[in-house]
Amino acid sequence: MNLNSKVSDYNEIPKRDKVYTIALTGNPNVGKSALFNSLTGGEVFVANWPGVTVELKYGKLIHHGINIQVVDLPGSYSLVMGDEAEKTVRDYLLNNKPDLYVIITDITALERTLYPAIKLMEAYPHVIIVMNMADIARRRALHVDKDALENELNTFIIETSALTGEGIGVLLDRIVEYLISKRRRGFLKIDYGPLEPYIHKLEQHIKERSPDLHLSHRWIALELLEGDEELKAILIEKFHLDKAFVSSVIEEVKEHLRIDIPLYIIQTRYNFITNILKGRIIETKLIRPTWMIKLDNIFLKPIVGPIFSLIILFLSFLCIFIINTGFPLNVIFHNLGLHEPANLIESYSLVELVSLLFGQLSTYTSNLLSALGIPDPYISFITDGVLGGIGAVLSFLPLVFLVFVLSAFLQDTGLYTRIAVSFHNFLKRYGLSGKSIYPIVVGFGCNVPAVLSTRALDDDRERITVALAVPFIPCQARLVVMLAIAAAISRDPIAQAAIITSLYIVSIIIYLITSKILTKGLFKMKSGPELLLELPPYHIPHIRVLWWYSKFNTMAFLKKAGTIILLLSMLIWILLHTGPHGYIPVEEPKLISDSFAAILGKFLLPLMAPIGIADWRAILSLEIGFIAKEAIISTLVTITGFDDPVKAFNAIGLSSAQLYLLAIFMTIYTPCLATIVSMKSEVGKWKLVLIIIGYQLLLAYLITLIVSIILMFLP
Amino acid sequence: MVTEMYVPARPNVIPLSQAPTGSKVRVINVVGGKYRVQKIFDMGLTPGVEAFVRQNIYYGPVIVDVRGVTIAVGRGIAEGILVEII
Repeated sequence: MNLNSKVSDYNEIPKRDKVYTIALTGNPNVGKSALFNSLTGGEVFVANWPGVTVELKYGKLIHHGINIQVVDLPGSYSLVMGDEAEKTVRDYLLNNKPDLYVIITDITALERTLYPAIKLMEAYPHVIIVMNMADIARRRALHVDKDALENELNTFIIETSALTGEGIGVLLDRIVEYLISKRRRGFLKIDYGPLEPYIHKLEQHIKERSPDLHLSHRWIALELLEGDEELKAILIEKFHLDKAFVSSVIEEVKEHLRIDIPLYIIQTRYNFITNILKGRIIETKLIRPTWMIKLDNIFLKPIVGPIFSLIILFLSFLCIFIINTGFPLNVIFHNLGLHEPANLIESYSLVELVSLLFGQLSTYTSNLLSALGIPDPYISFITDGVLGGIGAVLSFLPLVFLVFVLSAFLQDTGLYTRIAVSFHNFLKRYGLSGKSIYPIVVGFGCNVPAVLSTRALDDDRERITVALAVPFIPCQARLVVMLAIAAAISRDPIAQAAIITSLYIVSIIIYLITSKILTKGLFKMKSGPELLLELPPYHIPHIRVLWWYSKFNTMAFLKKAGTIILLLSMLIWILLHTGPHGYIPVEEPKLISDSFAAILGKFLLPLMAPIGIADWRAILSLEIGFIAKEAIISTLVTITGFDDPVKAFNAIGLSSAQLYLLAIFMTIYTPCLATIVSMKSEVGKWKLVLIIIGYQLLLAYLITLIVSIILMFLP
Repeated sequence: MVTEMYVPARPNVIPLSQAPTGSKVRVINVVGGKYRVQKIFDMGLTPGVEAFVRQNIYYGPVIVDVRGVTIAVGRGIAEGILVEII
């Protein structure tokens, strides 16, 4: 193979205080996250990089006294074209000069995973290759002639297993060796046969226009021939090329050679890979263990697959929610008359422990402050407004964390892809891909982690669609209110079940329709994405990756959403505890009717009465439900003075039909504060979030109105 | 962009969506929009490559092994991948 051994401008004496930058990338599903984690020890930072629109993660490491920052680029098949992840890699590649790229491949699937590596070596002079999954290769008795490949590609190749940690030390040594060595490798050159004269022509043109580049001129020429219009336009602008000249060369190729240029280039690269691998991979055992094939057969079967996937998802979430709030196990035990174990589960759930902690903290603070002679209104503001707000944020943390752990687990094992494939056909009709099943299922427990878990979706448009629509899925807090209202309407368990089922059906239909409206209206997508997914082999999950992924995303939630939730919680305190006559003491619940919140409720009464919510106390509780849906119950309990939520609902003087209308409105009208703030942090635009809230309020009003009209005609 | 490659009039050329489970196929041509074709190529399904059809049921994706990896190909895409059974 021809290797251009041009010495680049990178030769410099290593300085101890210099921070070197290396960038990690590779095919998806090669264990990049695990490797990043092993290299950096898991502490993650985010930063903006030149020319890249999204923030990228990076970690730091010191090896043999050399400071290195490791940039974690997304996984990519082609490096330059396609979805958001690939565009991020492209933007990074075009605008940054890392000291070294470490490109990760899967030793058990080299033919495919070497593809981006080869492409990168054509583009950039400083690339080393990691062949990950060495432990699996050994178990399958698969041997790769690494030395021969190193010679062919003229770079370091390191075998690692991010799972067992083997090879990581060697990799670090090699990275440092590369960074401080003077020997530079230059670009990989593949022979493209009949295309060569045209490549040369374009290369000369690029050299004239942009002589000094960190990328190979030849590679840019290749991308001009291979790339789509978008990529071409970017390259032409970035390197000051003459558009007419580039087009004329491409036209020339089409006319003279009559070949499909992109196909020819891709095929030549694959042929190159096939050739260098020929005789260098020795495999003596079965490629895939039979249990994997059996499991795949279940997942990928129509009907059976989706059911199996749903069972797995529901069981997993059930565990998470039981740990978090005791729900639904507590409800089941209560209904069976087993109140003692039910109470035990509730009191030892994470949410209960957090609220216990904050209850005591606020009692302590309140005592302390009153001992210091601070007036009551301030004490109430600090204990209920500020501490209550912090408690609200913290009470979400365990759940958010656990949902991310499960998400990471499913992704790392390869189960997520199977689940996505099994649901793809159904969700495609609503403009979504199979991967969006995860946020949907999470949504039934809690909308906050559901919105946050849309991060695992590949397509940005789909991510925004799901993040905006998923709050229509009734969460557990809404179910609690539904249960109380249903019990207030009827004592018959069958009627209660029918009421709740009807609410769920309405919500899910609205969710699907909203998704369709968003994908077709907002993003003008004709149909859902077509499925084209790699099914990675099943893996043992990597505990450190689970921990790291969950920790990183939970902290991101805390930073982004935490402060806003706190601020809004303070605002709500002002609405509820002050009125035109000043501060309203907490000990005087009857005086709530003087608060700004109550005045707002009374003001909205003429609007809400036509849809059956004909009591200002109900409206007030809906206002408070904006903080958290459970608070609807506690508010009514406070105002009416009844301890039993069912009695409290009956006490506000609504008929059974009106209570049902209240339940419908409550289910649809708006998600809680924390969800809205999460939506903002994921979608990025307040405008879109506000439009969605307006849409939800309007939709809730219209649907409740329609149902109220239907109910009028029923006996 | 519809690929301009010459498609030989071989009787056993069928879309991947019709290749039965368990069959070994060779990709002859890929048709479809430019973006889609490029993505299929990037996934390793290029003309000339041999693939093993692990699963193809009338409904749902076609599962193929190609270049050492397993890929789920949606039916819409599989319609545009022309193969011959070998």
